[in-house]
Amino acid sequence: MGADAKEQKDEGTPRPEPVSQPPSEAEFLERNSRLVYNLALRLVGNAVDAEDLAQDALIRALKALPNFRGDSAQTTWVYRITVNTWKNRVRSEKRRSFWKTLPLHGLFGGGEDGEEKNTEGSLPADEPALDAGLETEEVAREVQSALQTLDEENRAVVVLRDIEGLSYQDIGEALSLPEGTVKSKLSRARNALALKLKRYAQNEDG
Amino acid sequence: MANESENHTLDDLSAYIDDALGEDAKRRVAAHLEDCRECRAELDTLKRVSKMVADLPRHPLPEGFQTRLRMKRLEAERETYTPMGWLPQPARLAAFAATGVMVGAIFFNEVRYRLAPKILPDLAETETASEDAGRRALEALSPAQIEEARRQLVARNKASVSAAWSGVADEADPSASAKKGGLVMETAQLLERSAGLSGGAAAVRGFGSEENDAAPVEKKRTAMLTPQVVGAPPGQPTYTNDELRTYLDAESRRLGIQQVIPEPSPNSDDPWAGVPNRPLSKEEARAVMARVTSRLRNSNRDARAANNPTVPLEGLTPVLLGAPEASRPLNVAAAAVAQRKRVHSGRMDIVGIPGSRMSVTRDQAVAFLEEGQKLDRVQGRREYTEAEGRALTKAQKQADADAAYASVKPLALKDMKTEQGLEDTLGIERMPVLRSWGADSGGLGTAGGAVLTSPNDFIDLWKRVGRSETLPAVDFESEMVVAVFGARSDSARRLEIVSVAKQGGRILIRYRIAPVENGKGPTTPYHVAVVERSDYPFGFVQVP
Repeated sequence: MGADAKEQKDEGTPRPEPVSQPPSEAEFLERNSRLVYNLALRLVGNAVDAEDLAQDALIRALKALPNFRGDSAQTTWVYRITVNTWKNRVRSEKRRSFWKTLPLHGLFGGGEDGEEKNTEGSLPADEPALDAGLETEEVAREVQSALQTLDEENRAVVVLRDIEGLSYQDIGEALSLPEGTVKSKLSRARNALALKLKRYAQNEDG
Repeated sequence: MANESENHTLDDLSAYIDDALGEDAKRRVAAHLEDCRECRAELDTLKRVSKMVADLPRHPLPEGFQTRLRMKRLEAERETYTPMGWLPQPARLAAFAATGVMVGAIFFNEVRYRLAPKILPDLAETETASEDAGRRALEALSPAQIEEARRQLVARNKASVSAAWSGVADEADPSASAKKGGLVMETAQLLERSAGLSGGAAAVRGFGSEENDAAPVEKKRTAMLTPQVVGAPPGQPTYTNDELRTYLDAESRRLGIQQVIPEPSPNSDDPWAGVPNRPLSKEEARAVMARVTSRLRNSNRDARAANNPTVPLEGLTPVLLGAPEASRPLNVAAAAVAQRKRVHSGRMDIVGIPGSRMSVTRDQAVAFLEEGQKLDRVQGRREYTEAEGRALTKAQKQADADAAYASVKPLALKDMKTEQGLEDTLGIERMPVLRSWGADSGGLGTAGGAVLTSPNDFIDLWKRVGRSETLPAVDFESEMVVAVFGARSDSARRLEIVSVAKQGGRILIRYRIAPVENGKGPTTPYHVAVVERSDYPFGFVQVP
């Protein structure tokens, strides 16, 4: 059981970079931009902020690139910079709200709460069934929004492990956490996700 | 059956999936799993969760990502030795210009957003071509050189101001400069920054510093004049006042804005004879209008004598006056914004020129005079302030809405049978949905509707619903966004904006909630649509 679980993860494990000399900036961007963007996307949960975060992280990485010594794999190093950039940002970010919604009922008599019950039974559904593609998309959205409910370190741990496939040691390095903490945070995060995603994650008959 | 060891192995289960346990612990967990059905189920769940997260799709980089990254980086580098905080904006402008991506412009505040796309295009060409050259020129300058260039530019500005604008600038009231200069300066800065970036770092810097140490009047003149110094270093394109004015004229024609630039006429009978070929000051316009009315009075006298219809003169004159700021070419932009506002409110004919800044054309003036009945709408004999104009407009709008409401006929059964019949009976004017996005999840989870009219709001909305694609372009000058959110529901529901329509002086957003057959709950549906911008009040109606 443990063995096939391990197999699943192998393809995601990062390759150690050759230490010889730092890559050119163009090479570096070519290799890491998409990686960083996708990590950012999973951390912040929306494309607009993700681009912003990814760019900030890449700029920081490029600045530090000449000093990169190759103590750790470059990917891990880039992940660390991205996560740190993100943490700084979260810390300083004030949640601003520009707009608000109005209740739907009232002004013109229509109202979701009031009329929904009456209409529910009589309405024909416009689509017979969701196809598989839509279903996947929907699950992805649910997973992303469940991720969004985790606190930042738990989110980072689970994203680095399950999406980026980092080892516990690398995650610890990227987040400056001891391995034991990585392990317990990961466990907590997965359990929290399991709760949120109950209807997808539990066995059909269990 | 929960026991002690299960609690101890909870963290271990997760690590077991990752094969991150030592041999001993691994064996212990494996042994426990043999015995404990609950833990096996738990392990299954964790594995599935882990896989679901792992299966999240990978996305390609958004289009233009690297370009924007490059600009952002350049920006960050400049900031390290530039005290001014505004440099990010020209860089964003440049990103906008270079990539042609609308999204870039949305990051400006509203005024900039409005002006940027209009003023940029022809600068954009030089921008793209000379970006590298400009950057090299910029990088080659030492702080001392920049300071020297700044001094020269400011001196040149001052000289040109007094030469080119003597007699015009003098009229300006220095105390009002800050206020009324707001938009004008904004535009000037925008022009300068965008153009300055194409090669004129010195010009850009020069202006920023000037703001701090010059007297208010000088500051304003410099601000007004800056466009002529754009693109500073030798070999880079420079815009002269004339070129700029030609450009702005073209822009204003495109925007449907006209300036008071009457043509001199040899006919001495013409009240416009001898009027200089440039925008008029308020005083000048008043003088012209005095001549116009006196001529009309004479012709009315003749008309009365001949028993012909006369043209009423009451009250109109002040509306036709040139605005105090009509003497500045950049005011076209301000006028454009003001006029747009009035177009949006659909009340071009109501008095109350915003801030009394609008100019009118000669043709407009003549048209006004000739259409005597329009005079009835002018209530009083003076210009109205913006606030008064707004109050009048509002009252008029309300009266219209009430009248429209009162005029709605009772519905006949046959009218209700077809949608068209309904629309005709109710006087519904459809507003086509230009673009729309929706999903069964990702909404706010509480029932509500919103109408968004600013880019910032839209960005926020886009983030909140968590859509993965790049923020779509919405031109908030002519478009707005309507959004409807459904309550969180355990059964699968879909929400859809069915139509958006003007009716009885209001905008009605009709939406429908339908169950999704075979769909899985819970759902938090939402639907977002772009429609033509309108200032009418709005309401939401659920339809079956």
